[in-house]
Amino acid sequence: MIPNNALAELKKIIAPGSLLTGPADLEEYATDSTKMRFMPDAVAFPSTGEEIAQIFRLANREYFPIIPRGGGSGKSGGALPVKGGLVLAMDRFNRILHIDTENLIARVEPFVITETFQNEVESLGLFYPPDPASADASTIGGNVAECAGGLRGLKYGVTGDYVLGLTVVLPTGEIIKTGVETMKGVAGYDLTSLIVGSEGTLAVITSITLKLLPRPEAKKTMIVFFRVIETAARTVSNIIRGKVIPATLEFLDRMSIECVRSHIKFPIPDETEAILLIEVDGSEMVVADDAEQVRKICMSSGATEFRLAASKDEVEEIWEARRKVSDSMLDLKPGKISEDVVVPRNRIPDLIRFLEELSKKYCLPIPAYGHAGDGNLHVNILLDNTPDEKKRGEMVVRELLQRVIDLGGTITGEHGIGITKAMYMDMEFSPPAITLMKQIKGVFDPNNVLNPGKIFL
Amino acid sequence: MDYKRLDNHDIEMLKGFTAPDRFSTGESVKTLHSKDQSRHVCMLPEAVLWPLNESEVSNILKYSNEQRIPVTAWGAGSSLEGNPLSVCGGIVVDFTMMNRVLDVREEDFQADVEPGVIYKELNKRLRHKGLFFAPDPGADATIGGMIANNSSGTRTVKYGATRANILKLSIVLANGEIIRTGTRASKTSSGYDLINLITGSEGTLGVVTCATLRLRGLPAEFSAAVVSFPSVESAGKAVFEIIRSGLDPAALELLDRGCISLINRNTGMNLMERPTLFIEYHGPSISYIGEVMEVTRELCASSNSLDFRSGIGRDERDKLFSSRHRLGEMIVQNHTDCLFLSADTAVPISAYPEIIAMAREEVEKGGVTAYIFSHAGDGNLHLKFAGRKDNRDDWRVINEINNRVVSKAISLGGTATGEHGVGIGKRAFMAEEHGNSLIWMKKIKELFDPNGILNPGKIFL
Repeated sequence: MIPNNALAELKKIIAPGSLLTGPADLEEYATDSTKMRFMPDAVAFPSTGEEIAQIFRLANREYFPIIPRGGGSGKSGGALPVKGGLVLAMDRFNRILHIDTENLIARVEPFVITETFQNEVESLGLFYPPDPASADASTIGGNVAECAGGLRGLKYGVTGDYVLGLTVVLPTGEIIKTGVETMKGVAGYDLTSLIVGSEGTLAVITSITLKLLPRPEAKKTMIVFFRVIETAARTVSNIIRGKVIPATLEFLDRMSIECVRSHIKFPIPDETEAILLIEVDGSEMVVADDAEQVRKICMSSGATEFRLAASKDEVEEIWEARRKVSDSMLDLKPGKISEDVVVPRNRIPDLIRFLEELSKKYCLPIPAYGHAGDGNLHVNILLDNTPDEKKRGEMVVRELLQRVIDLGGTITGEHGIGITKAMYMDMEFSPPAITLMKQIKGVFDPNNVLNPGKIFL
Repeated sequence: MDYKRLDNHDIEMLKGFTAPDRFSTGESVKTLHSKDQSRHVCMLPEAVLWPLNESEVSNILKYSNEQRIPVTAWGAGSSLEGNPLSVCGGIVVDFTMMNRVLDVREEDFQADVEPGVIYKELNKRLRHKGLFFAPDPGADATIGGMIANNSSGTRTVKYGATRANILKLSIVLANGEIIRTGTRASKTSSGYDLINLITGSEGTLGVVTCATLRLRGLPAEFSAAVVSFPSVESAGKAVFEIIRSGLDPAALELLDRGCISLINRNTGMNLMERPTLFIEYHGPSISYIGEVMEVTRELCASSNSLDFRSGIGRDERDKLFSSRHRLGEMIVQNHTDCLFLSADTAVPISAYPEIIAMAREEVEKGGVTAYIFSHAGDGNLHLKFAGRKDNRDDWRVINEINNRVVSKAISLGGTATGEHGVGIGKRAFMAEEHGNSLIWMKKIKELFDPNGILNPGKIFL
């Protein structure tokens, strides 16, 4: 709870009309893509870093939690006020401050919507590769906080690979700048990387310096059908081994395809068990060569059909369908547990076989789709929300994550730990590593006022 | 910090953690570990140890931490800022005997290695598998040293610095605890990113005992070009145009006239003695690289290039780049009576022509000897000054110029060090570059190493 006197002081810190306290107004800020619900005590809309600094000083004195929030599209509960407190809605930090076409660098505020930014830089002949499926709702700040990935991770990496520097407000109320505006720099510790992916637990970001690339000249999009799911998984490795690195290499299993079938206009061959969506980009010449190489590899690996997207509309249709998979899962069953596991790429066939075993063993549908090129699969455990099914779902998660760790993988590739995976941290990290991370948290946030209850149990 | 000098008991204990033949207090051994390739004066450790495995390292650190004995990790001693020198005495832990390649997983493009592996040796072993580890700092750098300093080299412009090529680390902390961080998966958003915190921390936060490296497929085709320019500025402008165009060179090196003349003398090559770019491309086919070269030729011509030679064969290309890698050595051999200071600033690429012009002007005005050569493609400028050993005037002027160049770079949005690290020599610039975030770096140091035993006297003044 935020004490009344603190609320009164908050009103003095921020501009009039920038504080919500009515229960109806707060509702929107109580949830995110996880659909879980935790009510905040209040929501503030700060306009400057200095205001945030003052809010922190107050929170440290009065001991109430501060929870930064971007687009509210997080999948691990990073923006949820699990212990109540003040949601810091960053909506007013929504400006693209500068796009430097000479140095291929941009500076943005955290609430810039990812897609808005992508379009803006592309109109200038440049390219910002990170492309989470939620690009139309998620913010750059949220992407940085979770180290979001997306459809182009295979060739272009994840959000963290594009963050050169940050301006942040620390929980103690200090404002610092980290990083560089150069392509390299090794002076001192890498605080930028520490804050990237820290899920809003170490600092509140107020400005981000991003690296941009020149926009690729051309791209080609392909859709490849398979009758045997493991053949599709093996084809992924074969493509990379064939020295083609597609920008995107997505996998969908049969149930995932069913979910979005109505969005796809071209025919899907009978008995299709898996699809690979592949996009190559680069110069006209490279793209033509790569697409032909991909076709050959797919066919020799056992694909049943290969289709090159014929038009821009068809390309859009394919990616639109892909982005809808996650939400459409709930059309099949009322509940789902979403996992975001990553294994070394050539272990994907093992993982898929294991999912089939789990599905049989626990009598639950477990569709999977995702960034196969990165070894990153979004595994969904679908449920009827009965206590029994929920319990079985939890058992699936534990077995799944253990197998992923045994295969040399990680329990989350791009969604973050948040609250949904906090109880599994000890499967991936040894006690000394977790202790060290907690101590780092303690250095930055001695009173644990910033986004408490996340990552660590 | 107060540190303890080694006494007989410490020596017996430390010997026990390793073995009598892997522990030395001999003068010649200590001397070999008292100097890197920088100008910094010799600093003798009190003893040198060669551990064989992680648990030995852990025991050494745990004991040293309890006894307040400084511990400095040592790879090849090829650093350029005094990074592994025992400023406060104590022991040097030499990793050259932990030099095994533990596993190569071709399918995953990954290798597990110990820190004493020399990157060139690793690449020799990987060649027949069609793979390589991309960072190439030159010299006989070890993987451990490269991680500690986040080294980069000629290929960084395409493949990133060492940091971009590390997936997983085993680290021994100051108190002897062992942690593993990172994953064999290609990405993760699980927990805080300790890998990037340790990489580039110059052995001040922990000691790496095993690393999982990200490997790359050897490109199907290489091609290189040598381009001469009337001035360093015009070459700098060509660099900017090439990067802007998105051609994605695998190396883009700028050498001034003095460097070229040295290379000609040392290798018998006959390069035009003008400011020169060495350019390399990696690609899937000859036709593709040919197209890229043609665009490059046009861009260079529009920056007034004098001569553009491409299509050079593999042998000549290897000769060019090995001479580029040996340039530092050649400069040292050419001035046997001198000590050297390497400025290592990096600036945003658009400011690159400006910093080069400024540096050259300063050098001419000051009347000192300096070579300009750089990883131009990532805006990284090396200015290697040669000053006579006991000549105070030389060093006064060199230090003044160095300070002005670094301040200029920082004011242009750049950094004091693009790849050599802070070590001893660049500590003075940390406050100027980082402002109040330096305090938070210190707090992290205190958290990881409360007794300050890990490589004391580095990074922070």
